Amino acid sequence: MKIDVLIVGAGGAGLYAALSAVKENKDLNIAVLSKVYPTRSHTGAAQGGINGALANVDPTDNEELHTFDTIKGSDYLADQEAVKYMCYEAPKIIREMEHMGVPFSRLNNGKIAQRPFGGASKDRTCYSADKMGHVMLHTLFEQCIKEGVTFLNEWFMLNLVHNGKRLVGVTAINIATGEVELIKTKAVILATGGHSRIYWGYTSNALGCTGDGTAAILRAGLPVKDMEFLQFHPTGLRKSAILVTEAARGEGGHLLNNKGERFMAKYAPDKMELGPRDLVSRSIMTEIRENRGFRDEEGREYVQLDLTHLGAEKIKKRLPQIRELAIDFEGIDPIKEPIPIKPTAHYAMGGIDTNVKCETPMEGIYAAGESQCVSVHGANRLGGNSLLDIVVFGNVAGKEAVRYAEGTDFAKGGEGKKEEEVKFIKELMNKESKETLGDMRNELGEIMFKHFGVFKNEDEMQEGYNKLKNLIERAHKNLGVEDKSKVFNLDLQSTLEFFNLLEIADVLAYASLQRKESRGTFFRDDYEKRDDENFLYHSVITRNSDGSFNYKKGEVQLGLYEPAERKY
Amino acid sequence: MEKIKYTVKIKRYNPEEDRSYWQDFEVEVEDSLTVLELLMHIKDKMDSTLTFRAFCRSAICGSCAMVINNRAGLACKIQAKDKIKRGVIKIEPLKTLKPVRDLVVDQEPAFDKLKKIKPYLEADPKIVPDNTKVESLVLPEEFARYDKQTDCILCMACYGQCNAIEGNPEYSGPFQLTKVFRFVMDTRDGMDIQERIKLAEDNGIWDCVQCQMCFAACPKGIASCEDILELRRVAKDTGEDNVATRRAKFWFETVFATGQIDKFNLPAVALNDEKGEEIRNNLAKEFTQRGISQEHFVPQPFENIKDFQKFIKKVEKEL
Amino acid sequence: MKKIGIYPGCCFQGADEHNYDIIVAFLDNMGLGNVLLDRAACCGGGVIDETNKKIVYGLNARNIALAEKEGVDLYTPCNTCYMIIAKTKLALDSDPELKDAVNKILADEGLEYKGEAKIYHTLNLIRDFVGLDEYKKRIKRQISGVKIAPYYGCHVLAPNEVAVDDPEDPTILREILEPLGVEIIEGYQNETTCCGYHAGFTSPGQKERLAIKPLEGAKEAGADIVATPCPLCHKAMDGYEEPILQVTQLINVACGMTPEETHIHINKTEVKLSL
Ligand SMILES: Cc1cc2nc3c(=O)[nH]c(=O)nc-3n(C[C@H](O)[C@H](O)[C@H](O)COP(=O)(O)OP(=O)(O)OC[C@H]3O[C@@H](n4cnc5c(N)ncnc54)[C@H](O)[C@@H]3O)c2cc1C
Ligand code: SF4
Ligand code: SF4
Ligand code: FES
Repeated sequence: MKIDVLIVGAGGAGLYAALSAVKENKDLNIAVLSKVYPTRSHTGAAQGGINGALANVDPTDNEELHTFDTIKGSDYLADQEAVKYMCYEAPKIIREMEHMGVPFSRLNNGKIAQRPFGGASKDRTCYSADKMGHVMLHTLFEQCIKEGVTFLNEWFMLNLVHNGKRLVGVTAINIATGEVELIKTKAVILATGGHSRIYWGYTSNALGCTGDGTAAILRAGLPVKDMEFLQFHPTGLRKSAILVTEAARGEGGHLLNNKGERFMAKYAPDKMELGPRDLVSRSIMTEIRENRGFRDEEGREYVQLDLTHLGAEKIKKRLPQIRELAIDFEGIDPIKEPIPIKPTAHYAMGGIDTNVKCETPMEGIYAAGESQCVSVHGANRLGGNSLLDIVVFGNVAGKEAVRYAEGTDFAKGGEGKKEEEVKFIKELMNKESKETLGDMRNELGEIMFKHFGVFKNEDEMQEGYNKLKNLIERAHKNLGVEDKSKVFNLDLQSTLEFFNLLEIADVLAYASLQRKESRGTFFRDDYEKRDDENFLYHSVITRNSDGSFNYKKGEVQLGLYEPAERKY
Repeated sequence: MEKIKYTVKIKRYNPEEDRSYWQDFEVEVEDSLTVLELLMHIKDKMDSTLTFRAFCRSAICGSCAMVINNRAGLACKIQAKDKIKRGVIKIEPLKTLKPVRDLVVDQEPAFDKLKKIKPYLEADPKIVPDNTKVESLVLPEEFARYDKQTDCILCMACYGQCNAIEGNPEYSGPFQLTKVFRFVMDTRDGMDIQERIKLAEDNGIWDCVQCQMCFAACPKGIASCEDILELRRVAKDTGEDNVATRRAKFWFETVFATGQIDKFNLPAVALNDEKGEEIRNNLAKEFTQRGISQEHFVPQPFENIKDFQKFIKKVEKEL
Repeated sequence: MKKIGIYPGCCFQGADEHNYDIIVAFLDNMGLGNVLLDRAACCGGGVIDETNKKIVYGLNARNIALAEKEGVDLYTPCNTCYMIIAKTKLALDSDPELKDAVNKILADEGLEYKGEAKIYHTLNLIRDFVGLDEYKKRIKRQISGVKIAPYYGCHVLAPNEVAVDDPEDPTILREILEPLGVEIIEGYQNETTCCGYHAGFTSPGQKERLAIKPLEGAKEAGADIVATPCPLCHKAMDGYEEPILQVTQLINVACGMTPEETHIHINKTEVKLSL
């Protein structure tokens, strides 16, 4: 198969990239490949909204304030010009999507409604009740149908193939048939989403948020960036870790400890519940650690998110999905009772290292969306900035990839890689499993949550890293695929995804150990302060052929705002 | 943590042998599992070949629709313990789509039908600005008309339960028609309303049997059956003249006149052809044979019908 | 004597007039008195919506208010009337604004929707209003030697909110048929497929294709007769090879009436009951 521009991933980033690519050059052969049907992508789970200084609610808002809030929120690790670009694009791209049909909630004057969100100085988050990602994803998909975009649905990308100078193609399995193919392509955009599933069982993410693209980049010898930064969202449901959007606090929800106190008064007296995520997550964990949390019969610890005072009407209108989730997954109606919540692994700030043009160091390989790290989120992403990031950089990636593909031909070779994949999979299928995938996945989640959780320190991390190394070794030795069928073999797919998770957990743990400071979401008990002198840099990591890591310090582009202490 | 024991009866499909069969799994699990968690338990602990789709596990991605105890729904949204009937939970793939393997069905035909109805906004240049300095204005009450319909997650539970498809495999399907409704109602849409309605008609609004199964199945509470009636209304109001719109008009007229639908004259009026006349004549003959008196052929207005008519007028205007 | 309000829908009219006799006799056999709600109007039949959906609320709020004025609950044997009226009740009871608005208009006719009257269909009437024990006592003779396939139809099981029994595993029809001494055939092909009645005009071919499916399934499974509570399903499915009757007709026979007395001879497809 030959495709001029291949987009891997059909979330917000992938679909926007596809639309911009198709609009840029209709004559190219452009296709989107995704392991799930496009509308299943995890972008659909985004609830709260998308940021842009439309100034519909607060006329004093502007792009500059958005830029500053984002940089401050990032704990000054974001690249400032990139942030500026994103924030100035925001109102335009949001309106662009509105013109495509996104059904935003509206103000009484007919303009797009906006709500307050954590870490934002103004009411800036555009929303559609509490299903922003869902309506965005579906609208983008609809527009792709309109533009006649080609889709390869339920195809699983395995690896990138390059010749050391430029991209040759990608290898992928057609899930329905089990056939491995080499797809030759001039340019590829990796829009494969996040990897919070390394916290298996403790994450808001979908089962398939396994960082496949990021792992493929590592295997291709290309760099990942800022991998130690993974955000915990303060409000995951107690049992399932499913997300309760920040909008629940934006709409006025209170966080309560077992004394019935709004404990955020201690930690963020000004912003209260609307402090940035890193701070709120730590505050919750502190309450729990100091025995001011709740504990249920199963021993799960949590605090309460109280919406009852908002009243039935507001909850039904603004947070209908949250109500549904609380009822379905906790058996609690938030109109009547507070929701039990605890922090949940949520968003990967780190990812594939690219510049603002979405280019990786390898010609022809681009990345966009959560899998990418420009970086615009630095050490901590603000709520509502990811949906923005994925479309802004999806747009850039689509255009850049087309431009590159226009000026080049298909590279030769790559067939050997396909044979390698076939052989690898065959071996995996023939191997007798000595341990089960289910158990090992749970083990991974336990290790990561315990040792690389909201609070970290040297000893805990070292211990965790040892456990992780052991798990990785066992997995490669003991894990095979029991399901021998070729058709829709999800057992095989899950196993491959698990190997990707291990790849990522490994690099995340490694990167965490190198950073001896606290910054944004990355918090160490043993180094509680930010240390700009020694650590104001991006960690840029590649894997050497012997398996070891190569660690480099990437420069953080400042220039607009000098790093200052964050207070909320 | 309470554990309970029961049987999970799963209808599996083996593509290599093109064979469907039922398999029982005896489980002993916590009582707080969703059906999806139950299936994952079986896959993790009992049979790793069991195949089903799942992704978000929070009822938003639409991957996991299947038939649980004869009713289509989302496995991740349904509590397993609520579904144990006499010690058994029965799980099958969606019925109106072909199985690919076990609980995985081939959704392509249903997506193809979606594509056919042009499921996208064609921006109306009168409403949608040609630049990104401003957005189109949509009043909250305008949005409210199709707000619910934008909740659709394309899970196909409704499709799997649709009787119209049983009768006519070409029938588009409930969620597809809800999508037409969604764009018909969107003030920003610039596609000619007649074209939208024609898409709805060509794809089956008159084939729907109003069985309500789509509504019963929908995890998002969307009533495609009602959207279809609304599309029929729009068809009628935009000048469509066919057996169905004539029926609708006559129905209202006679209910207004007497309180009841005049079923004696309905076929003749609706069909508006010789066949309709013939039905009426036959009815008349049958009635006479059975000794039904002439005045009972058609409903007679009940007492104080004028008050009833005032009531209907007011309802139309004020409710 | 307990009394129930009979809601007269279009299934008692014209060619279907005999349905009225059937249910009056049935109520009689159950030892119930009745009040005919003679100023009640058409439920809308899922067609009035095509004029204006609000009328459906108005019509049925008024229908229920008429029953409430008489101090009785409302009974209809028709699946569709039942579903539409029950759905309206649900909407009114959960939306005080709608209820107030309707009541303002109803006041002109001296009516008020209070939300007190229950909505009954034959199936839940027997179970909840008559009581299954009392019901069994009223059966006088057994209709033995016949195999009956229960057919619920759609609108007593969907939407879930108004279903008369567990929609996933309904047993009520079996519980009602068993005491008649018949043999029950369940789990046949297309047992839950729609009868197609409501496509009769809009798509006649569709109606034909659907109506025959459950009948064929029942026949294949060895049933002599299909039994449905719904007069519309009956009408849609009568006239094919496999005969269909209304449950109330069978009950009437078991309570001592002759098949003719309860209009079984009107069936297009002939039915033989050995008594
Ligand atoms: C519960 C939740 C709520 C959120 N709420 C908000 C919010 O309110 N506001 C906000 O700004 N952000 C929010 N976020 C974050 C935001 O939704 C995500 O960061 C963003 O949607 C990621 O988009 P994406 O396009 O990069 O990736 P995704 O939407 O995850 O898409 C990834 C795509 O890649 C494909 N893919 C992956 N691996 C492979 C492979 N190996 N082969 C083929 N295809 C592959 C997948 O099929 C999928 O199509 C939320 C996140 C979560 C989890
Ligand atoms: S009401 Fe119509 S669309 Fe809905 S399931 Fe029945 S036949 Fe299908
Ligand atoms: S209408 Fe409901 S059941 Fe049908 S596809 Fe959409 S969400 Fe699923
Ligand atoms: S897994 Fe996404 S809807 Fe069930």
